Formats: sequence, structure tokens, C-alpha cells
Amino acid sequence: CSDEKSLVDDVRPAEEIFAEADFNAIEGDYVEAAQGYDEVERLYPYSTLAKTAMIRSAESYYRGGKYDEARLAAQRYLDFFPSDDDAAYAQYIVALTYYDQISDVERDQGDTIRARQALSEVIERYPDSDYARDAVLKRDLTLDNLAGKEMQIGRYYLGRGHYIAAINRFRRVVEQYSTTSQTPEALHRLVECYLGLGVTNEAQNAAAVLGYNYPGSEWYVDSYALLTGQRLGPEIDEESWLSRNFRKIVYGDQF
Amino acid sequence: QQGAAAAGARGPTVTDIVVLGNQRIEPATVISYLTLKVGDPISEAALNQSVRQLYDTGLFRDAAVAVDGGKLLVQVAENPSINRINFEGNDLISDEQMLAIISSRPRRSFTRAQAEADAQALIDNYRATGRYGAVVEPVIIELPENRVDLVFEISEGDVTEIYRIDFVGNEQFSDGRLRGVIDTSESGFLGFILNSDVYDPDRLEFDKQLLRRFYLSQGFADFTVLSAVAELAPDREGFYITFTVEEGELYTFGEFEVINSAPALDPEDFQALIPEGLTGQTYDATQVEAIIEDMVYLAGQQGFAFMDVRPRARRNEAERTIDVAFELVEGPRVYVERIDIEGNDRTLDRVIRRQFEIVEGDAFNARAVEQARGRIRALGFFADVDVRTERGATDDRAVIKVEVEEQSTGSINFGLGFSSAVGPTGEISIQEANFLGRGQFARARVRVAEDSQIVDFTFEEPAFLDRDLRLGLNAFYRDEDLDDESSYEITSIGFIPSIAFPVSEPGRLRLFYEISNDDIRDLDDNVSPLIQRDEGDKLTSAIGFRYTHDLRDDPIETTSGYFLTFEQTFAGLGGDAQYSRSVVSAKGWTSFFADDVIASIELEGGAVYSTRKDLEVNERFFIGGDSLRGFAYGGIGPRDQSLGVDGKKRDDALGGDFYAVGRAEVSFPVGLPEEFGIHGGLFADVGTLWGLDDNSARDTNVDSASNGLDITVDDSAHLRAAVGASIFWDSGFGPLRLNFAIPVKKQSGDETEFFRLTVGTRF
Amino acid sequence: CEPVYVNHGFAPQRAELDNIVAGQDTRGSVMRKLGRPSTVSSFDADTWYFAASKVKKFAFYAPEVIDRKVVAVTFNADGLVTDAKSYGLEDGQIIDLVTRRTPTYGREMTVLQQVFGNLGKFDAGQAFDPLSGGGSSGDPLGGG
Repeated sequence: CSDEKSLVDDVRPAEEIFAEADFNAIEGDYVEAAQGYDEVERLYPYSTLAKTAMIRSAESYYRGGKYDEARLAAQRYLDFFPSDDDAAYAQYIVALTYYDQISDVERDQGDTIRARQALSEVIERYPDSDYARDAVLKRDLTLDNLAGKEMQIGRYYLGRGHYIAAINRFRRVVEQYSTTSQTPEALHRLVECYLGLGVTNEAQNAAAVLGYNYPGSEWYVDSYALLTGQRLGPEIDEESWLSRNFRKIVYGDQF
Repeated sequence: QQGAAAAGARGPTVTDIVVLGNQRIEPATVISYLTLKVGDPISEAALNQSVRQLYDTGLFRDAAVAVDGGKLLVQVAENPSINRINFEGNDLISDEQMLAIISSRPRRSFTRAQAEADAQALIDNYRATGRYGAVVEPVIIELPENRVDLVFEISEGDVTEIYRIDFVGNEQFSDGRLRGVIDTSESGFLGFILNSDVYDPDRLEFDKQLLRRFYLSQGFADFTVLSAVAELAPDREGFYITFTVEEGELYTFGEFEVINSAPALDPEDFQALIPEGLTGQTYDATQVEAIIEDMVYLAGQQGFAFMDVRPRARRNEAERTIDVAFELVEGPRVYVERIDIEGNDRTLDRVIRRQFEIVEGDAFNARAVEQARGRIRALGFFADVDVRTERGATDDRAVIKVEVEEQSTGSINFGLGFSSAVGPTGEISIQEANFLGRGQFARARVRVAEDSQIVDFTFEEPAFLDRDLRLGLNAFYRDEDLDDESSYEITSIGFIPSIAFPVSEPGRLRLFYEISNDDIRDLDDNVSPLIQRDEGDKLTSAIGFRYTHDLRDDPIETTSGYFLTFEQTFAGLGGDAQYSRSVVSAKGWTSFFADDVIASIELEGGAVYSTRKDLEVNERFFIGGDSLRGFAYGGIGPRDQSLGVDGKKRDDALGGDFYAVGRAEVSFPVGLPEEFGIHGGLFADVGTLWGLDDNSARDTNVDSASNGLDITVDDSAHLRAAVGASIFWDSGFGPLRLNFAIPVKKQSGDETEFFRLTVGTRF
Repeated sequence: CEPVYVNHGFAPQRAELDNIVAGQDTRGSVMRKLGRPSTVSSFDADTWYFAASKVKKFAFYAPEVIDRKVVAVTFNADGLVTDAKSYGLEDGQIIDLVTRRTPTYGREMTVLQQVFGNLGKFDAGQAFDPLSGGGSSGDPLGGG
């Protein structure tokens, strides 16, 4: 025998349940509000309110931090009303559910990639909606995060003296993420790597490209210092052994 | 379809589209799904394409497109909306788990095809657990407003067992022996307990490989499995399985040879890897594989990362020997293009990446990848670690994909415990084995028991100075009342920094320094004179090391292999205490019935020796409780039972300078479904504790009955033993273990302990 | 215990390098003779680099690069080899790496979130497990 779930349905008319959900939303009880909107959609799927309830449910779940439920509701809206005026907003909510969960570059970037795809959908399918403009900004930022992950792995190998592995990671940033804010640092790291290997002409090439494209950047100042012989050689490391290792253990720095 | 224009002729174009029969889906939405748009030419193909398109959305029960001159009439009937999904008849698997398997969801459109697919998914799920008789029927309950309730009616059927396993064509080895080789087992007396007696076609395939490996390692180079047939018994409750095999001839090893094509490699080094005296022994395929692995490793060591070692066996039928030539061939040069790590929502990339010895750009080496996988698993942060190698940008480049599934490594717990030895204990402890995802271990513990307060901080950084060097810092404050055991209280405060590093593949060394102060105070007025003399403060400054040799197959769920530890401490680097203390332990595991039954034997011993012969009670060993089940902590060993104040008999445990303990355990499933997580176990402990620097002292207590007399205590070794049973329960609270023990050999005055609730992982 | 030596990367032996002839060999022939380069110059891809290093690891000492060989094969505009230079460990510079990092977005894991993220995960393992704080003195709360 199956366990008896409450099979008694809420018999109130759709408008009443909807109004109660609205009230909850205004009060800030977003999750209750969303559940109320869901009931309207479940009991009266073909009422005119069902459509609005669906998008409101997605919005309330998102505000209440229930990202998975918000995505499910928004996706349902897109299945039924792909060309409706709220479709852009639904797609935007889907993007936000991933965007808000992006974690720092040293950890899994799955949400960054999914956010990127969903933001691209907003931009391509609803170009003139007022969400598209914000989606473009957010998408650039996801690109920056993906570049940041490559940089982090590059710095890991650089810190341990594996110059070739580091070079290939930094080259990926320069070639595939050239529009991001990470590129100047990537170029400087290439200078560091090539000098580490002793291939000075490559180091000069990298510094030249850095200086040409980002003349004002601090990274160019660092590269210039390296190429003019400063900050080279073992004896110039002023930071004490203790403070360097304290930074590494407590703040998790790479070097 | 009246009025469809003839194909090819300049037919009418679509002038208008009218949608009929839609309920919640708007015309604009329906039109957006059509391939035909206003102004397109009407053709038969376009019409069909549009109809199929409408069905593909899964939103429509049926759809038809008619043409009236230039006007398209799109007639649709929407699929009902799912109101509620219920499961009936599922006792073994919960509704939530069922919901996770199917893709239909409340408020989505119902389609017959999807419901059928869901039912099949549920049946496959039952099949995987061996329930071939399971039946799942999707049933619809019509509701007003074109809504439906979807109910899956389930009859789980019972487990299809294996009645008998037979072998045909096996002369060299008996059926019984071969049954021990394969994984599947008959449902016999133990059948109701073990789950390896359930028919599973994949396991049958695996059995074929096991048979082949077994025969090849016994010298039968021509062995083949002709067939493995499972027939369903007439009562449809179980299977008869028959393996037909052809053993072929018994072969022995012939000559060995190393053929080398790389100029820089010296064949002699590789020849040396072949153990002498192998010629003439029975042929063993696993031995050949081991030699190949050593050769590949040696080539790698000498910088030839792409060396392939290919064995070429030459059979001489007459003498029934096999000559094996190892051909060193320059293999394809495959590089590691990238190491990609996914699934690490909390653990930092570097904590996983640094387990790899190989680096991006290195030559690809399967053994190093396997080694890394083992190390990542041993971190203990992940429920599952999957390391796969995929083709990179070109076929001479490989991408190593690491996918981890994290498990909680932290706990904050308000422990309310009960241990018969110490009484009720209250505890607040915050522990995180993967602090901030950096693999650092951090634990802060405040423990308040009825008679002891402990504050303990531990922090460990596993990769100190970016090396394989674990820095450990431990500070503790302990205030304990040991009246029950030895009538005194002790306050200890200490700090123990340590470093640990690998010295070989299985071996790790931990060096530590300890500075601690112990204050033995508040002695009972009836305390034993042998403890009376230890009253007061004592500073201990000691250094030591702990060597571990880990050859277990899996550090978390060990089923085979062994684990040795040797710990040596020297006190006397300043401070008052001066002694040398050694503890050594060795534990071995083995398993039966496809790892369902796990047995282990452990031997442990310790000795503490002081040149000045002034060891104090807290510096001696105490065993009992967990270390010797069946006996309370401090329940055995030298004991002062002389007559104390007003004739009352003293009962103070004095500890001992030497101890030796043996523990044998076996654990097995108890037939309950896997979800309950309950296992049973039997154990037998045997041990002794003996030796005091000075086993006599003058009783100077004025009102003591034996005032002025010398009290001497028997500190010789007497064997104690106990047997017992335990129940393991992987509860939501964590792994609990209930021990019931009965001492079978004890001395008068020993304090036994029948029941102990301890919490620890199953070995 | 003796040190462990680990080889990284791949660089051609002296013998293989000798049969690369300037002016004749092309990218295709170099690929056949020496294999795929470890990396290619970053901006005009006219130089191929092959690099191999040998690292000595011993107990708790830091892994130490004891040998490194870098071979640079440069090609001219029409794809012929101009020259092949090799660099050793001694050419490498010791660099004071810049510790600054370009900021990125994304939720850092805070200590509180880490700790209270586990609230309720009662690990009874600690409640009765006698203190394994280590240290040599006899542990009054039982073995372990």
C-alpha cells in the first residue's frame, strides 16, 4: 500500500491562491510565495493566471535562493511560452541561477560555463530585451573567470618550476581569452617563465607585446624590471622565510 | 489534406495560419514551432515537417495541419498537465529515489511515450539489484481541466536466486575450487546474507575473465571458456548456471629473452628483472605481467617514457614449454596535453593536482595516473574519484580528466556519550579534514565529562613549503579525575609540533617533539603508596618518531594487505622525565565471498624503560576499553590491593612498563538490505600488562592498616582473554559500533566491561 | 631511503639532434625525427621548443631540478630550419615571482560558511573516541 500523501487539494479559486502568493512575495516570504504560485499552476493549468504564476514562481524561488526550483519553473515557462514577452525574463532567471553560484577560480567552474551558455541564450534569442544589456556584462565576467582558472593552474606550475606546463597555460589565456583582464598578467608570467628557462629572446617578445598593448599596466613595469636585470638572482628576495610561508599556509598563496 | 498543391508547380503560398484546439498554449507559440511561415510555399514535405515538429515538443497529444487555399488550419489537442505523481507497491526503494529516476514531473505535460520510458527506467533499476521479476505499470487518472494524476503501480517480485553453478570440461580443478574463483555464488545457507548470489549478466562476463586469469596463472596457456549459460528454473525464482570450459595442456616456462631496439638501453638491466629459476616452473601469466610492468618502469626511470614492452610467447607443443621474449619497442609518443579537474566544489584544484607526479607536457604514463588516483582517494575527501584519459587535440596528446564527488569531511558535533569506563561525556568539537578546501586539517575540541575536562587544538598543513611534508601542531589541556581507576587526579598541558613525510612508496615517517607538564594531585587519602610517591609536577620534554608501513589495498575500506607502525619516544631532552618508550603494531586483513566477509588479525606491544627507574603512573601503559575489549580501561595489570585507611582494601591500577595485545576480528553482512547499513562482527582479544620499575613501597600513611609495612605488588605477566560480538551501524550520526564482550580468562581483581558503545569506522 | 628521480617532458638526445640539417629540414621532417615540440613560441610560432628536466626528490627536502635541457629549433619564413640552439639548467634565471594576482569573481569559501555548512553533521566518531592527541604520556582515556 503506498503511503497516503495528502491528496486533498486546495479548493480555493485560482485568484485567491494567487493573491495570497502575491502577499507572501511582498512580505518577503519568497519560498512560500513560490509554492503558492505553483499550486495555482498545478490546480488551474489552463487558467490565464497559470502563465503569470509560472514566471512569478520562478522569480520568487530565485529570490528565496532556491536555485534549482527557480530554474525548473523558468524552464517550464520557456517550454510553454517561448515567444512570450516574459520569456526573456525566464531565460534571464535561468542564467542568474547559475551565475549566482559561480565559485572562485580554484574550484569547479561548471556553473560558470552553464551561466555563460544561458547568458548567451538571453543575448541571442532576446537581443532587444532590457535583460540582454546586463547579460552581456555578466557574460564577459564569466569569460574572465574561466581565464582566471587557467591563470591559477599556470601559477601553480610556475611556482613549482614546471615552466613548460606554465607557458602552455598562459599561452591559452593570451590566445583564447585575449579580451579578458587576465591577459596583461599572462604576458608577464610568460616573461617570467621564459627567463626561468633561459630563453631571453622569447621573454623580450612577450614583454614587447605587453608593453605595446598595455603600456600603463603594472605588469609591464614588472616585466621591464625583470628584463633590465632587477629582481633577478637569488639574493634579491627581501621577504622573510617566515612571512612567505605564513602567507602560503594562512592565505593559500601560491608563492 | 484537401487542396494540397501538386509538388513542384508554383503552388499557393501561406497567406494566413489559424490555430485551433489550443488551451494554455498560445497561437503565437504554436506558430513559432511550425517550419512553415506566412509567405512560404506550401509543400507536402513542409506540412509533414511541421506536424512532426509539433509532436517533438511533447506538448501535444495530436496535431494536424490542413490547407484551405493559402490558409493553414493547425488543429492541435494539448497533452494533459500532470497534477501529481504517485508510486504504489515500492517497499524497497523510496518515492524520492523513484522520482529521481523518472523524468516526468508534476505541472509538466503528460505524454504516453514518456510514461512508458519512465516505467522501463524503473524496471531496469530493479533489474540492476537482481529483481528480474519486477513489473511497473503507468496508470492515468483523468482529472477535470485536462489534468491527470500519473500513478506507477509496482510489484517488486523477489530476488531471482542462483540455485546451482556447474562446470563442464574441468579435469584439473574441482567444481568447488572453481566456484571459489568466480564472483557469482550459489544461494545456499549463506545465500540469504550475501548479495553475490543474485543473477547478474555483467557479473557472468566478469566470471569468465576471472576463470581465464586463474587458469593462465596455473600454466594452462590454451584455456578458453566455451560458454556460460544461465537457464531460468521452472519456478522462475532462480537460475541454473553452467560454465563449459576447455583447459588445454599444462605448460611450463621455457627460455627468456630481451629484444631491444633502442640503442641507448642496455638489455642486461632488463634481463636482470626476470627472476632466476623461473625456467621450468609452471607458466603464470600474472608473473609475465609483473615483469613487463617492472621493465616499463625501469625504461621510464632512464628517461624513455614512451617505451612499450611487448611479450612474445612461443609455444613448443612437444616439451609443453613456453619461451617468452620481451620486445622493447619505441611506443607511440603520447604527451599529457592537460589535466582537467572537475567536481571539486569545495576542494581547491591544487590539492588534487599535486597528487599527480606527472605534469602537463610530460610523457603519458598509465602507472603514474593510477598512482595519482590512489593518492586522491586516500585523501578521504571524496565519495568517488574517477580518473579517465581522453584523446587530446591530436591523437598523440592525451587529456587526463579527473572527476571527483565530494563528501562531507567536516563535522560540528555536540557529543553526548556514554562509556562505562568514564561515565557520561559531553563534547563540543568542530573538525574539518579539508579546511577551506585546502586539504588542511583543523580540529578544535572541548570535552567535558563527569570527571574530566579536555581542550584540544590540532592543525595540519599537508603540503608545507610546497613539498610532500605534513606540518602538524597540537596543543592540549587535560584535567582528569582517575579516582575510579587509580585514586588520583592529573592535570596535563602540552604542545606537540610534528612533521611527516614519505620515505618510500608505502613508508611514511613522522617526527615530533613534545613539551608537556603533568601535575599528579588531589590523591585519595587511601591511595596506593606506589602512586603516592609520584605526587607533584613533572615536566616532560621528549622527541620521537613514528614510522608507518602501509600496504593495505584501500586505506578507507580495507579488505586485504597489512599495516605496520613503530613509534619510539625519547624523553630527557631537558625536563624531569627521562625514559625511552616504544610501541609497535602489525595488522593484516583478508576477505572472503567477494569482500562481503572481512577478517583481520592485529598484534600490538609496547615497552617503556627509564634509566633512572623513576617512571610515574601516568608514564606507564594502561590498557582496557578499546585496546583490550572485555576489560575496563585500567582494568588489568599490576594493582595495589593492600589494606589501606581503617582496613579498607585499596584497589588502584598501577599500569605497567610492558604490554602485549592480540586482536582477531571478522565482520560480515547480516542479510538486511544495503540501505540499513548494519553489519555484524565477532572478535577475540588476548593481552597482558606487566612490569613496574619498583614494585614495592613503604606505607607511611599513619591511619593505614598496614602503616609502616612494605607493600609489594605482583607485577608479573598474566594472560587475559575475552571473546565477543559487535554490531556496526552506519547511522545518520556516523559509524556506531556496539561491543558485547565476555572475559574468558581473567585474574582476581580485574575490572571487566561487558558493554561498550564506541564509534569508529569499520576496519 | 634513497632519493627518487622523476623525469619530466621530452627533449631529443644529442644523436637525434645531429641529423637535423639547417636549410633542409622542414617542420614535417623535424616532427618525424624529433616528435612533437613541448611548446611553440608565443607570438610568431617560428620556433619549436623541446624541453626535458630531471627532478630529485628526497624525503622532506624540496623537489630540486638537477638537470634541464631545452632545444630551440627556429624556422625561417619559407619553413626551413635556420638553426637549433640548446639551453641547459645553467641558463635559467632565478626570478622573484610577483605575488600580486589579477582579481577574479566567485564566491570564496569563508571560514564560517565552512564550519556552519556542516552544522548537524553529527560525527559521533569524536564523542567517545578517546583523545588521540598523540604525545607519549599514557593516555588516561584509553588506548588510541
